[in-house]
Amino acid sequence: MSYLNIHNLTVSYPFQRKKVLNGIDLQIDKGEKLLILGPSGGGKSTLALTLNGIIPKSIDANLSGTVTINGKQPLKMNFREASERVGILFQDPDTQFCMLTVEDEIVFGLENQCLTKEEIEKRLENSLELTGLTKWRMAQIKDLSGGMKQKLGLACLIAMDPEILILDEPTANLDPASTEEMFQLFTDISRQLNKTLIFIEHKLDDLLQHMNRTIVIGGDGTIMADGHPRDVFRHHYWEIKNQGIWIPQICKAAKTAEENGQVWSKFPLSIEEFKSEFISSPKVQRDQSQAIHALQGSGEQQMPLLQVENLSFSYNDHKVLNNVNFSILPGEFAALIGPNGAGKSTLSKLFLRFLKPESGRISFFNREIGDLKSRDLMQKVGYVFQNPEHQFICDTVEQELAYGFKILGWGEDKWKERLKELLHQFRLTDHRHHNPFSLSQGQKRRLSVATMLTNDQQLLILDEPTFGQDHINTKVMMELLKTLNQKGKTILMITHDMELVAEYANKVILLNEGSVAYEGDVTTLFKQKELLGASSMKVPISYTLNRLTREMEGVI
Amino acid sequence: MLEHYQKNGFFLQEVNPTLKLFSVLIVIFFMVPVFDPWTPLLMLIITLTLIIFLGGISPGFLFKILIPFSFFAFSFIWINVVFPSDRGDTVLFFIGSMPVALENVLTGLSLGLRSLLFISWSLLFVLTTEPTKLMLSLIQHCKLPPRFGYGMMAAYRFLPLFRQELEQIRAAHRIRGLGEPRGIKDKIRESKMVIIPLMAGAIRKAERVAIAMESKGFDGSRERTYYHAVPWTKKDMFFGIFLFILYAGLTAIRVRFVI
Repeated sequence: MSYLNIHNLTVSYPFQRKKVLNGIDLQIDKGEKLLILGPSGGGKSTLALTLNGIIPKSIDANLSGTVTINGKQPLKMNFREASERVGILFQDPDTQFCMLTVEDEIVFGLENQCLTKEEIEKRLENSLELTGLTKWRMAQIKDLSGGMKQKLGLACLIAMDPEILILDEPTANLDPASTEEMFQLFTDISRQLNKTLIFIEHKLDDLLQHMNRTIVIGGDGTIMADGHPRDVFRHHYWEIKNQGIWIPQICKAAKTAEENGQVWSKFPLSIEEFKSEFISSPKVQRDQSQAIHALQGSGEQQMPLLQVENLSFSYNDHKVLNNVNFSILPGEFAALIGPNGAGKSTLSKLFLRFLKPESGRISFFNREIGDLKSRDLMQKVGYVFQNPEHQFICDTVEQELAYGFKILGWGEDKWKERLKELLHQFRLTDHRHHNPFSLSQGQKRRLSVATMLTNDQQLLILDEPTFGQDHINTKVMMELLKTLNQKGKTILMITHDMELVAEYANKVILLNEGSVAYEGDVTTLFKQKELLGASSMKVPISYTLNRLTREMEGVI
Repeated sequence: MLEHYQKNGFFLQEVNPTLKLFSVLIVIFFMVPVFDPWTPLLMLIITLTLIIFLGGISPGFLFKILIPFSFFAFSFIWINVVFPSDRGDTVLFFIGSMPVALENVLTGLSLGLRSLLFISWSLLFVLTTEPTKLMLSLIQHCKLPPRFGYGMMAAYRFLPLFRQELEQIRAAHRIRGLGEPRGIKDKIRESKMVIIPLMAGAIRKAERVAIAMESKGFDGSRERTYYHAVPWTKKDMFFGIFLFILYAGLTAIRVRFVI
């Protein structure tokens, strides 16, 4: 008998026809390192919450089939007993704590388990030590960075000592440097504690080699594939891809190589494994090289749409931006990157005129930002906020889009066509009469972008356009932006997703410690390892792989 | 700044929060029958001295908080002078053609000082009490169900987040061309548009926190242990004795001189 047994588990939510999980059969042994993949809304998180009994005890759902952990059903356990067996690390660092300081938060779970003071003390110190938080024991949680908060989340779980740790997209909201640190921590912990780890899909290229099992849950709620990641990605590659499920970059490259005649004795899961077996063949296709298109040449003396000159800004005595210079030319697809605290959000507040520059100037379309009227600025520049919900002001999708036209004083006959076009372009036609708040995450994001294009704005600034979006919505969103860019729109996106930068941007501005550390094309930046290291940025795996294949070809 | 003061380890910070909360109630009860301005003035001076010397709060910080409240207190004097229920006989001087009577000024002064006293005694509580300690003390000594105690803590954490979110929503709306609201009608319309996204966010956050708390084995029952017990110490005894002497003394003085 395995430690965790799931038999014929079917879950559906009230008022929804669709079964989120459909006849799941699963046995998991102690110490397994498991990766669960699936499309969004495909029941991964549902499965996690079913394992500790939150579903159906706190979240109403229809459930059939059985789950047993160590011979006992979560349904029949109280929350304390469940927490001794299963611990979950959630995605959002801001909404999984209820206390004010690091110590109090870790202690909270231990008190729930009714441990003695001595035992609490011991476990508290131990988990702080393991996660490297000892120095922050008395720190206020609100002062911690996102990465530190997730470490704290993990520390809480480790202290409670459950046999199974479920990590539900724990790095989805983190920047590359914190993500890497978290990965390192997961690897260390799994080695030191030998817990059963269940990861739920997110970008974990670096962790893949430590996984010994992968389960794919399809859109219909059934298990599509179950096995070692090598076999799953090798034999079910196309099924997974067709479901729009995230696939590790390394497996993508390996599969492409295989199609070109490469024979793998061991399907690679890490760059090292890839390197050791890869034999280049002239047929190898590189789709990467065409993605990184060169800057539209010619462009002599083009007027920049956005120009930042000698810009400085401080909060109190702390200099946040120090002599920042860069410009965005028409037709560019630019990415503004940099570690947390580099001044990205301050810069965007300056663009929006919520802050005034201390010195230097920002000009849009060659006119200083202070001289432009709000209305003029609005007609030329679209700005998309991180949380799409914040931008909604009307009761239906259609009104939301029409609002922009009305404010410009257009007549209905004039905007009717344009509205239709936008609805179609952003795949919102079927939802035109719905309330914006009732849309899915991906639809909300698309609508928020669409509302910023009602006036045919030439420059579009996006703050973390893929934040909190799953793989498929990210893809759709980015393809949309790419199309817009090809049709002549200029795009500036603030992001920390280096894969996106590699795949879509044709210009990159790296901000570090308040100044521009790099401005130019993407490939050149990726070659500058030291510069990237100094700004806690990381070359995306896809780029490394691409370089590798090319180098190998060069050798032979 | 506030957190810094709340745990700076001075005498008042070490007093049991339940006792401090109780002392706020005593002040209110004690002041109910008082109508002269001297008692609240004396009490106010004592309170501020306590906050500064036994709470380690910098006088500058304290007075900065009290300034807006002083305007509020002054409004009592003004109202009593301009709209007295009975105009006093001892006219001090005239503002325009309006007589200002000593009796009315004193009543106003009494009420104003009383309000300042309540505010500063509340500050004594707020500035020297960690929220976590208050919550634990209420659960441990006042039979507050942990369900509410920890629920309140979770909500308290959200306050700054709300403010941040409100700013973002306003910013996002301005970008859509809404501009600053003008007039009451505009303001009502704006608040409606702000409230919906704010509520949507709040409900989602609350739900997530609740799930996270239950996942950590929290069931709201009293069946739990406490790593930090909020103790009753000698300091509580001293504070209690001090309160007793203070009120006994004040009562004695009042009996002799006022009544």
